[in-house]
Amino acid sequence: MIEVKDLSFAYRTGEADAVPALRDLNLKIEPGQLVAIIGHNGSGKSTLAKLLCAVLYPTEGEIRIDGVPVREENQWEVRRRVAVVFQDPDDQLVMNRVEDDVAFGPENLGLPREEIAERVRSSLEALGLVEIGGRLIEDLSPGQKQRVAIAGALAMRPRFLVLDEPTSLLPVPVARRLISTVGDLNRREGMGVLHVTHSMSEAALFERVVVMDEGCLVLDGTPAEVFRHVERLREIGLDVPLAASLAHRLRSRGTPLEGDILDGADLRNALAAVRESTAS
Amino acid sequence: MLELQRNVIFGQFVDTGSPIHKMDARIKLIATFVFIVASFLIDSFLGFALVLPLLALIQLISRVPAGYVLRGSRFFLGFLVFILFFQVLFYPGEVPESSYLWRWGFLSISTTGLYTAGILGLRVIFLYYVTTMLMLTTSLVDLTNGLELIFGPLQRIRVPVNELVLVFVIAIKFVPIFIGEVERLARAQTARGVPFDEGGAFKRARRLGRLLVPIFISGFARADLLTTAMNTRSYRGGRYRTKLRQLHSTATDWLMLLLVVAWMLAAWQLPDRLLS
Repeated sequence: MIEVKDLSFAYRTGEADAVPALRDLNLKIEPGQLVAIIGHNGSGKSTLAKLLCAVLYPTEGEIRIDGVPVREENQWEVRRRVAVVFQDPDDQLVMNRVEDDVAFGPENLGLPREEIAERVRSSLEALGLVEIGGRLIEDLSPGQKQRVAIAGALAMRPRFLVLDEPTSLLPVPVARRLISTVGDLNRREGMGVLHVTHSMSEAALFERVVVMDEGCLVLDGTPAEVFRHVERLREIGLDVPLAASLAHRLRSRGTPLEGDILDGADLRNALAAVRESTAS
Repeated sequence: MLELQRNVIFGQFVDTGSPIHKMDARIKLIATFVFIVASFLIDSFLGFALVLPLLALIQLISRVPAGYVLRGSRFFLGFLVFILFFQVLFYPGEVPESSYLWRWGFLSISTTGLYTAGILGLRVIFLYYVTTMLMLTTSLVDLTNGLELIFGPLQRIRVPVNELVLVFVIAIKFVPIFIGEVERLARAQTARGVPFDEGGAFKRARRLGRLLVPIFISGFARADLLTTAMNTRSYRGGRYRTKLRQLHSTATDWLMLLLVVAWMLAAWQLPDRLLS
């Protein structure tokens, strides 16, 4: 479980030009939860991601990962529990062959050779990379590279996987496939996933959405609950997916739409139901 | 347009799965070391001529296309010619008046000067070729493991071998990334009207200078990100690491090494014996 308590963080603390990035954040994430953290640039979402994997440390308040506080002296304990994938795979892949890079993390843990081989194999399998295991990373597409980065994180067998905008450099269909793979991993391995993004349509695919703005937590709930606050979201510069915003406008004009509407299919079904009930 | 990616191959790895790729990295490293020593010992054209067939053989077995290597060495060779040009003009050697072919003030061309420059050029090309070939045929992991095993004993006298090797390996990994970056920056500036492929050599060289500052900045930024990423992947120095892949040397590997040593000894000693 991730517990964030009264967390504040500022860049360049103690100096005159200290920049507050997070303010009094409280958050609890259960093991195995599939969470999207959303906000526009400068909302503090990436800072939060970096705090969760002990790249940064809290200025005030605390974060506990399965009870282990995120502090410098615990950094290695924290990193065993939380793995992270960043935006640009070129900046985090260390070795030049796919298998070798996936093995880099487990090698750092000092695991026996057989165990490393097992982890590399199963991670490659989970991301559908078995065939390209021997290829050179520089020859892969950006989407494949990002998959390799995720396989590398998975090979650490973390309790939580933090994805810091891993899809922002990818074409939409590739990003979608990546997200659905991450969803599968979450179900199969029971690993918690925190996906940092600025795309609302991606966030709609998660079981919980946390909205951040100016370093504060603004909204928190299921996608359906969050998308109901269309005005609030628009205020902080986030776009609600078209179907959800359309449903919101129809409802405000009196159309009695039932259920949670997140995408086009939901909206079609709800409208069909309305037509049936008015016809009868 | 400035095209570097195809013209600079230093630090690249081309996986053709050839017998040379499969050789034990330690043996390849030692063989490269033998080549490097030989390049300093051999000091006659005949000696270098004797080396050539072995290099051709290596090129052939490696299955790395020769055209690729040649094209990828254009920048390097151009630079070398540029340097040798000055070498010839400024260092005629201690020679009698008769061996001067041309003289103007402190600039001169002498037969000895030409000879020295020729040998120097061949020496540098030889060095460049064997190190490039080592990297073209050895993956980063094998290179790391090989270097760590060879220099491992130095750890007893507190040399941080693992860390040094990783620094070296990452430096190599960044060569193609940096080259890509230079191209990207050059393209960005070309779009704003800076012509990189017009004007004389000096104008061109000066224009390249504009790329230096942005390249340094992005280099530091990348290094910073990579360090962070390695830390999040639990890298805490070499001491704690275990290895997935192990190196195995076969009898053939040792035979190859023996061949290299014998060949280099011959190229070093034979010319003197033949000429005397």
